[in-house]
Amino acid sequence: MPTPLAVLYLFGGVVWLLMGGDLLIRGSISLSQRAGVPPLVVGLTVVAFGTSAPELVVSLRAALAGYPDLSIANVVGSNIANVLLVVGLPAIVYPMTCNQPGARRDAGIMVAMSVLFVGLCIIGALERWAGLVLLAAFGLFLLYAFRASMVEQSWGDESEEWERGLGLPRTSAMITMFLVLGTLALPVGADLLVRGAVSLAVALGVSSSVVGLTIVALGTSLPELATTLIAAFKREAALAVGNVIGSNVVNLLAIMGITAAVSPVPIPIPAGFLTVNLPLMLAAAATLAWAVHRRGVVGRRMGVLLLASYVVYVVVLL
Amino acid sequence: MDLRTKLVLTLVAVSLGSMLALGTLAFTNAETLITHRTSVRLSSLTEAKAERVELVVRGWNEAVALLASRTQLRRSLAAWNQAGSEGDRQQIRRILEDAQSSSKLVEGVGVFDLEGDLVASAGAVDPGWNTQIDLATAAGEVRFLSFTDEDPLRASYSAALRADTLPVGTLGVLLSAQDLSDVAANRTGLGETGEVLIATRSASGDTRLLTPRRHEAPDTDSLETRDGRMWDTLAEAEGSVTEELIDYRGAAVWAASRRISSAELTILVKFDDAEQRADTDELRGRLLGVGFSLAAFAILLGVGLAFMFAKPIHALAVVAGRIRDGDLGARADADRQDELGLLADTFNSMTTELERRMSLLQEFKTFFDESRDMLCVAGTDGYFKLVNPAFEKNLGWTEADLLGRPFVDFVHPDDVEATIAETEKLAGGIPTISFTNRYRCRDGTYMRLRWSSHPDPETGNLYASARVLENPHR
Repeated sequence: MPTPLAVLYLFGGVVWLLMGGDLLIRGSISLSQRAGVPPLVVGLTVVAFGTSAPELVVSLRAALAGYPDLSIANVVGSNIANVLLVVGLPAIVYPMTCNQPGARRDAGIMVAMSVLFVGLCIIGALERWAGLVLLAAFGLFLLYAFRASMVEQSWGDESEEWERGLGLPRTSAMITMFLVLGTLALPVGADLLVRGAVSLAVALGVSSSVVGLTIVALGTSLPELATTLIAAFKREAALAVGNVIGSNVVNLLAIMGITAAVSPVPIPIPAGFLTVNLPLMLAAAATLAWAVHRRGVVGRRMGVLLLASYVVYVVVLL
Repeated sequence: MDLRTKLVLTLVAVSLGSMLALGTLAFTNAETLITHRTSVRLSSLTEAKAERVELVVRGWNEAVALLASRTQLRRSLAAWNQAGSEGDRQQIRRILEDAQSSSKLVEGVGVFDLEGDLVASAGAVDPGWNTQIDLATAAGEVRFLSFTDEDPLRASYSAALRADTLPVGTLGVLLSAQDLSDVAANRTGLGETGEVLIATRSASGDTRLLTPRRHEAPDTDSLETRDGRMWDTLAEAEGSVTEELIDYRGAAVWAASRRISSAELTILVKFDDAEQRADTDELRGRLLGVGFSLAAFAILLGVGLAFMFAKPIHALAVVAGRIRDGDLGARADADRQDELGLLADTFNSMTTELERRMSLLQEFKTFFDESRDMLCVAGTDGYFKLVNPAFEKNLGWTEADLLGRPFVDFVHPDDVEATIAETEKLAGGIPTISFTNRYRCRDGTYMRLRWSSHPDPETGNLYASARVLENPHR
């Protein structure tokens, strides 16, 4: 496949994934609302899974299509990009506070889960049992998150305005359409992204894991970057760090867990992961956790440091 | 559904639909083209192979003819026929050995006398010669007999031997068929799966494959297809068949054949259908991929357009909300030159008009509230609809008291009849200039009032004002 076509596939893949994820999230929120599920539970499950759905389908698609190294590269690359880029870049625009309740605890969990993941990778290729271990850890994390924030909440009176702002579907037919179209769009996007990534790797003469670590990871992290950056320009980036932490934990436990449990072959640990990428992921997580614990804020200087590390990392990889 | 989703879904549907139509057209044309190209390639390959095989067969014929034309051999055989001396037989054998060793093609040769008995031979001998050597063979005619059953494959020929136009015997020749196998083994231009098969009909009429197959197959002896069709179809009628052919592996194939009747050979060239389809499948995959990728632009365009439209609409909604909450001074931004600008402009003039009327209304309300005269609106049902504060001030009744009962309830019993008569006059459309009656105050005293009243013919409402003539409280 010629390079421009591969780039077009990557672009199309990212856009379809974003649209699919968006439709799925909006349909799911409406559905949960109708079922009377409290918003907190929706936030922890439906929205968390919905925002991670693109990464999940890309990782699954890659593993099933015979590129399991692309799956792990996507997750590890996403986690690195989440901290260095998604936190780093907006922090330069406006310092990000992260002193909301539970942030320290969540940052600690993120580091612990990163250590667990790296430990599994050191043992060897991620087999089915490793996937189940990660999923079990995810189950515990969910349980813990529920109990830690068990506050009675209900959909407020202003929910109708909120619904219109979000563009939530309001009839059963619309909800069904959103869910069906979202479910259809995600694999289309994943397929395009994986095909584009593999072709681009061939065209550039690099391994598919390098493309997974950089372009695919960046593509699937774009929405987080966009929302965080907009929030930073509006100077209201309070929730960004929490979202990044949640996204990283879901990536490692749920996405890698499901992919390893479903993949027909064990997920191999590509060359250079144990020496470069996984240590960097761990270091990035630890740095963010340190910032949250010590300072409660990610300032401009820290943002520059994070972003510079990301640029150096990508340049070295390519 | 929100504007953004509507726009995105519509644009995606339109773009995918049009690309699907274009893609289907392109794909159908490309598929036809690829099919045609493959057919042509198949035919020309088969033709080339047939020409090669014909050359081989011609070479065999020439080799046999050359042998049969040896004068020394024919003379020695004639001599043997006459005298039967051992010397002649030795001479014949020497000639045959010399002929066999000097040609790579000739693997065996034998000479038969007029009775069909073997006189001498060199190299390999075909047992079939005994039954197949035809004594009536015309002068100099070379005849193909059959292919041998054993390995290596050989072609068996016969030729008549004559001396001075009289038949003296027959020559049997076994030729190496290696050239035939070489033609089949050369797979240039046949791709990953294509193969050349050369076969002949055995004595029993069965098809016998002469050259090795390219692919492993469980049933290596039979060339018949699963439904027995491929070979027959092609062997009976020369040409190309590109549909519904299944080969010995059970794989769908495209095939073409030619016959070389001089050696009873059939040449079959075939490709796997899957290999041909790989091209069209890749094309289809790529068309779909490009189509969906390009539809991404429609998604982005939809989102962009929706934000572009939604932003001013949202701003307008915010302004409308402020006006609803009482801020009549709020105005929408009407700088745009499009329909949304027109909407904002109309919205603003509507608000200006509303503000003007509201201030007018406010003035009338002040006038109504502050008037010392008693002002009211009454319905034809006999109830007050609206009374000004002067009523409560003078009569002592609250507004709710006054609106809750028919107004004649408050009229002095002696004035009720006249009041009803006056009200009926009003209902008939005649205004009251001056009418006097007594109204009961809350403390039971009566107040004399002079009314002037005007009926509204459309609603039937009475607009009335009353002035106090006698105030019992003063």
